[in-house]
This record gives sequence, C-alpha cells and structure tokens, in this order.
Amino acid sequence: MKVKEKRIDEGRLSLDMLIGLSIFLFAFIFIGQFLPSVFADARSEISVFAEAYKVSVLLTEDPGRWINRANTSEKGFHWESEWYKDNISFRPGLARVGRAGFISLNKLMEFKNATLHYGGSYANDTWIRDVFGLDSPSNSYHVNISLLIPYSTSYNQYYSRNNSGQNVLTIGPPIPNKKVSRYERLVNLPVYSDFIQHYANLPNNVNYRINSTFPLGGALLIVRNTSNIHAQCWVEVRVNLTNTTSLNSTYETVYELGDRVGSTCDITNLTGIYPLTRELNEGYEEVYENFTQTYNELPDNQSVVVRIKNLNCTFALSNVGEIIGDLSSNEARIVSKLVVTVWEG
Amino acid sequence: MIRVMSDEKGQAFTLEGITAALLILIVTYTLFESSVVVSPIWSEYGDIQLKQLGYDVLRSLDVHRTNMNLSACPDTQNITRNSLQYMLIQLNTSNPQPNQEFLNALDMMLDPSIKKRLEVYWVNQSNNNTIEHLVLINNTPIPDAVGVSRIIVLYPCDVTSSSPFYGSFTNDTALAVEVRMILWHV
Repeated sequence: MKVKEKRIDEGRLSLDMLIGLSIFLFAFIFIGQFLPSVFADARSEISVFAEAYKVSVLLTEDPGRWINRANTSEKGFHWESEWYKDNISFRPGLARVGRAGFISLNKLMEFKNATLHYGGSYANDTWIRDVFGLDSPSNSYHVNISLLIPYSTSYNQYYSRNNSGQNVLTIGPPIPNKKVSRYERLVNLPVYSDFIQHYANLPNNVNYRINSTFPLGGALLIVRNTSNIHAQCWVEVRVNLTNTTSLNSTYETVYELGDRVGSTCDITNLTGIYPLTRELNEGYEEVYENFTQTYNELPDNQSVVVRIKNLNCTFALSNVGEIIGDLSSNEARIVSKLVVTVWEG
Repeated sequence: MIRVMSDEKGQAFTLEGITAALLILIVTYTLFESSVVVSPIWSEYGDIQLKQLGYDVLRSLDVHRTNMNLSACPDTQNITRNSLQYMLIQLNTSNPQPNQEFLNALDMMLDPSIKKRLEVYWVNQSNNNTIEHLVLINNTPIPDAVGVSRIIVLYPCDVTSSSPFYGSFTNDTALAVEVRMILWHV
C-alpha cells in the first residue's frame, strides 16, 4: 500500500494565528490603558493620608505662629491671645511651646473659638481647610478633627467629653461613609477640673458610689497608706447597673486588692497607683449583658462602687482620657487620642 | 490508499488558544478590579500608625522632672515615677526591671492587642566605648514588628553604684541612653 503524504509547511498565515494575535493585542492594549486607573486609587489614598498626617503634626507638635502684618517685628507662638486682633495673621497649633505632644488648654479653647468665628459652626471646616492648606486648585479635602478616649478604636469611636457632657474637641463635618484617611496621635492634656469627672480622697471604711457613663476615658485608684497595719485592709471596685423603674439591679466585682482573709495589712506591697480603665470598661460590658439577659430590660443607671477597708485611697474618673500619674502632684496628665480624618470632596 | 495530512507545523490550536487568552484576560481584570490592590502602601499604613503610636508613647513618658533641684541630685523626689528617666535610674544591676508605675503608664497607653519589647542601649565610656544593652521587657517580636526609640540623658549623680549605668560614665560627662521599644500587633 502506498502512503501519499501531503506536507503543508509553506508558512501560511492561518486564521488561528490572526485570532490569537488579535486577542493578545486587545488584551495588551486594554491592560496598558487600565493600569494607570488601577493605581490612581492608591495614589489618591497616599495623597489623602499625607494630608491627615500633616494636619496632625501641625496641631500636636507645633505651638502655632502669629505675626502682626502692620508691624512684622511683632510675632510669636502665642497666637491664642492675638488671633482676634486687627492685622494679625496666624496659623494655629495646639502644642505647648517647646513641649510637642503636650496640649495647651488655652490654645485648644481658642482653636475652637476661631473655628466658630470663621466658620459659624464647629461642623464647618472651611477655615480649617484654608489654614492647613487642604484646598488647592487640583485637590480639595474635607477634614474632621476629634479628641477620643484611648479606649476607642477605628470602628468604635468614643468622644472625649467634659463634665458637662460636651465633646472636648470635634471640628469638621461628620465623617462620611466612604473612603477616608485617618491618622491618630496620642496627646497629653493638662489635668483641668472640667476633665476629671470624679476625684475623691477616700478615707478608711467607705462605700463610695459614683454615677457614671461608660465607656470611661480613664479610672485610677491610688493607695496611699493605712491607719492600722494590724488589721486586714482591702479595696473592691464594682460596676453596678440598675433600672430605676423596676429597681432591678446587678453588679460585678471588677477589681480586688488586698487580703480579705488575713488579720494584717501589707501596706508596703499595696501602696501605689492602679489604673482601672480597662477593668471597668470590660466589666461594664459583661454586667450589661447579664442584666439584659436576666431582666429583659435595659438599665438606666450606671455606677462605679468603691468599697474600702482600712486604707486611705484616692479614686478618680475621667471621660476625657487616661489619667497618668498622681493627681495630687503636678506630674499628672490626661492622655487622649487626637484623630484627624481627611477625605476628598 | 491512505492519505495523511501532516500539518503540525506552525499551527495554533484554536480553541485552547482562545480559551487561554480569555482566561488570562479574566484573571488580570479580576486581580486589578478587586478591592485589595497589592501595593506597598497597605502594609506601610499599619506600620506608620503603630510607629507613630510608639513615638507618642515614648514622648509622653519623657516627662523629666516635676521640679528641678540639681543640688539634690539624684533628685528622685522630683522625678516623675512613670517617666523614662525614673525607670532608668531605678534599674538595679542584679535584676534590672522597670518600676511598676512606669509599666502601668505604658500599659494605659497601649492597647492590649499590641505587644512590646523594651531594650536600652548605651555606650560604656569607661570600657573602650563598647555598646552595652539590657532587655527590660523580653517578648519575642514577629517580623512585622516596628521599632521606635528615644534618647534619655543621665547624669553621673543620677545613678547609684547598683545601677547598670554606674560604670559607664567617665569624669562628669552625661550618658545618653537609647530606650528602644519594639511593637507589634497580636
């Protein structure tokens, strides 16, 4: 049998080849066109993030500047006492002079006053955008500047509130439900009386109840001394929830110190400063859940109960931030989060 | 008669070729359209914020003296007990541990989800300028950890003979101690 072989190797340009090449070129051009727009998003985020960082640095690390345009030899850092006068140009900063990260209370208050003066309300960020260079011919950003308690997270924000229940600092429009850049700074505030919700030197043998709102910004117990080392001494801290209509109530002990069994007081090991913020806030979450599950209703009164036996203590609460240091000395300060949120718009 | 067409040369396998090309196209499109764009900024974003937090914490703890009294040096009465300075001068060579007030302040400012390692480095000026170090909080960091540091200046009169820094001074020169904190999320 004779096999006849037909060889087709004359280098034809087949339809397959044309289709394949077309798809490749189409894909190549498509990706080439598409790539810049993919990274535009990331580029935009880098740019917005940098703006949030810039504003946070200018506010927390710099005291600000002022200058008298009519007499340029008159200038300085204390813009807070000059900004409302004639011919004054100024840029606000909140830091104490020479103390980056430590906020001046006067500067903070005048920053709010200036925002109100130039914008008409705290929610209007026009002046802030202008003074921090957030408006340019090519880009425009909105900004929200808030002071939060350190217990806050990016998804659970709790504002620092003074004793009147007002936010210590919230400037700018509400944060929208879109892509934003957020930059956090830890700042040190002075121990201003309006920032300390409760401060009490507690004597021996006391049941001390403080009505409070949770989550707390800061809670501090200072054990100082005892009046009798030959008797047991202890401290117990509870979170108590009550419904004032039904009078249903429940509590949980969140912190205990000392020995409730022995007959002596080991004051050497007990003396010191005890931060209780996290114990109280986490304890509150548990008690709240127990209360609602047990009684099928919501509590309308929240309190912290401090029970002390044979110890002299100081107890302090704040809704502004963590209390660092002994409040009876000038070392004490309140640490909060200054959060700058920027978005395009 | 059997007729064989030998056309293997220079042929594209049409269906497979088109399928493969479409597959590449779809994968590429999906990758770039997805919300997670693999870009350096995503990993750095978390690092920058954690690093900033670390620097802010160290700055907050660098509160120095509440009232300067050089004639009473070491003036431990006027040094804030939760400060970096006090933490350093109270260290004992036999068992170098940070004091409780310092640890309390540190923990109050750092979320429990952030772990830390604390080290101090200094130059021993009286031993051929060798670099010495101590580990004060000994946790093992993960590769994504970030490091922050702050320089604290100690004076010869600040420390006692039981201090690890005692033998590192020459004459009356001050000693720069680097406090290095390594942070990471757990």
